[in-house]
Amino acid sequence: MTVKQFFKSTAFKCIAVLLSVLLVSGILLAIAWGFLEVTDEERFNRKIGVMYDGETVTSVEQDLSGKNVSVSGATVQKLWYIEEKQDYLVQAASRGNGGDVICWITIEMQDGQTVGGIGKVIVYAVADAAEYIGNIGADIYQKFSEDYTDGKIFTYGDKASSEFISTGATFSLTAVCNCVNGAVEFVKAYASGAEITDPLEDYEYTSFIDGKKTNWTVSGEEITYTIITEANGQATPFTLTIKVDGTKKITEYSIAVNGSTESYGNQMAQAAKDLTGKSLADVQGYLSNAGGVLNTGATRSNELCYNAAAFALANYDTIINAAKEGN
Amino acid sequence: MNKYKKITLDGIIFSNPTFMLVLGTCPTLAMIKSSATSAAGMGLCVLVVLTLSNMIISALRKVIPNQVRIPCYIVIIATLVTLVQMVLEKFVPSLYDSLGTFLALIVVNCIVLGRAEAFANKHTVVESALDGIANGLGFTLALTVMGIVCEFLGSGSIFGLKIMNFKIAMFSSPAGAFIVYGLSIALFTYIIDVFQRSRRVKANKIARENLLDSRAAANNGDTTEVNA
Repeated sequence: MTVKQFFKSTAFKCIAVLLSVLLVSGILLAIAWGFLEVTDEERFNRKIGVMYDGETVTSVEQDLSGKNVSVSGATVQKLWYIEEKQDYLVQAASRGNGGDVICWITIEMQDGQTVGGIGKVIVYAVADAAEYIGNIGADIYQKFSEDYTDGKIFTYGDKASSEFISTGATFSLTAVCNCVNGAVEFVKAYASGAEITDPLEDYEYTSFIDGKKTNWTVSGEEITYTIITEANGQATPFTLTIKVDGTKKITEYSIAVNGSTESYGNQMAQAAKDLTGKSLADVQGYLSNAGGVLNTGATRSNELCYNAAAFALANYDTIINAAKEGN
Repeated sequence: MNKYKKITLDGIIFSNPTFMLVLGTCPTLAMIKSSATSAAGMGLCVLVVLTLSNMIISALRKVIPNQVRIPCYIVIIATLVTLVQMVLEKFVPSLYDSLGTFLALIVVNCIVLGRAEAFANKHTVVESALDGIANGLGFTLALTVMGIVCEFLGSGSIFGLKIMNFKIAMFSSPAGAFIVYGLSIALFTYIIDVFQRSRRVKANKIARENLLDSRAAANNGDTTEVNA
């Protein structure tokens, strides 16, 4: 085929038409993007507008560096002080079924230091596809502000709780409750000027460990941990007693409070039995083997129990050395 | 029947993409269980994309070689969907959020590509535009009606307005959406069937009367001739 023939051929016509369509489409989209681009700032202002019913407010982002942002099963990601309202807007995340559920919560203040109530709760973003989250209606988000009292822990997603709400989105609702509980607790401490450092910042395997409630005692070469975990999806906090001796193996593992759901709760005794006698390497193996021993149906509860075991084993030397130094 | 009337009635009723052709099932099931507003929003987005893509494809039907028509159609449809996405995100963010991934998935909605392939590349721009509007309306109406049913039963509200406190959670789930979709298809098919049967009966009756009239006229003619 000569060059002239090629330019007259159907193949050339196909290439030319396809490229032309692509070029025109590309140019059209580029021009449209110039006019229709939604900036991050615009997106942020829209959400703020939703939180304050369209009012324009001035938000001042607070510096959270060095603060313990893991509270009540949630992580406080951002905190803004809203000048006009003199309240706080919290962005908190907690794990739902498929990924993190990120919520925005307005915390209303009284005399600038004490939490007076919850203003509005919205889901800001869902990190993974969690289509059932749409089942959580506006009336449920409204309940957070209606039901708030000082010290209240919201448990709308906990099937064992009397205030459980059946939505078909139990994981997501638990995550939203964790975000609200965490936001209230964090703002309480932040606004009162209390120190919000992470008590476990020098330790390893601190995922799901409630640093404020967990404690341990050292007797010779043996450490007895009382570990309180955080909630994880449908699993509510566990209270675990774990003993680790000089061989750096678990000599006793007992579950004082079983946070697993009713149907899976009886599986946890087996998990405790399986973990007894195990070393850190064993537990690390279990944790790194996604889809392995943790996936029994009670996956979330297993994650809590196995992480607690890893915490107890991994920090053995740190705690023993600190005890020897008299700390 | 006037061809424009036929195109319109086919798109909305007799070849309704949702109830008669069972096309675009994925966004249908996803949206009707969500809310009537989302369902109507999805329908309107498809209407816009379908009408514009039909018009563009029809206008370019003599330019686009047969061998590369499908890639060209996909590029055109994807461009239009991206434009709709940008417009929604800019001006109707709440609808943009509620449609989520399903907005982008209009690109692979078989109604859009199906109409391009079956209709737009064989007809004029005006006819194609009308076909797009009719099919889009058919899709929108079907989604909205089923969305209303699901929202009413699943959360006791219609278009977000609370009507009653009673609700059946299943109708906010894919299982409920399937049930409503199946029953709607059955009901729609039944109504169309009854309508077409009554039309056939009416047509037969008219034909029979015409036949009898013509026979009677013929008989009268014979008698007159004999008398004469």
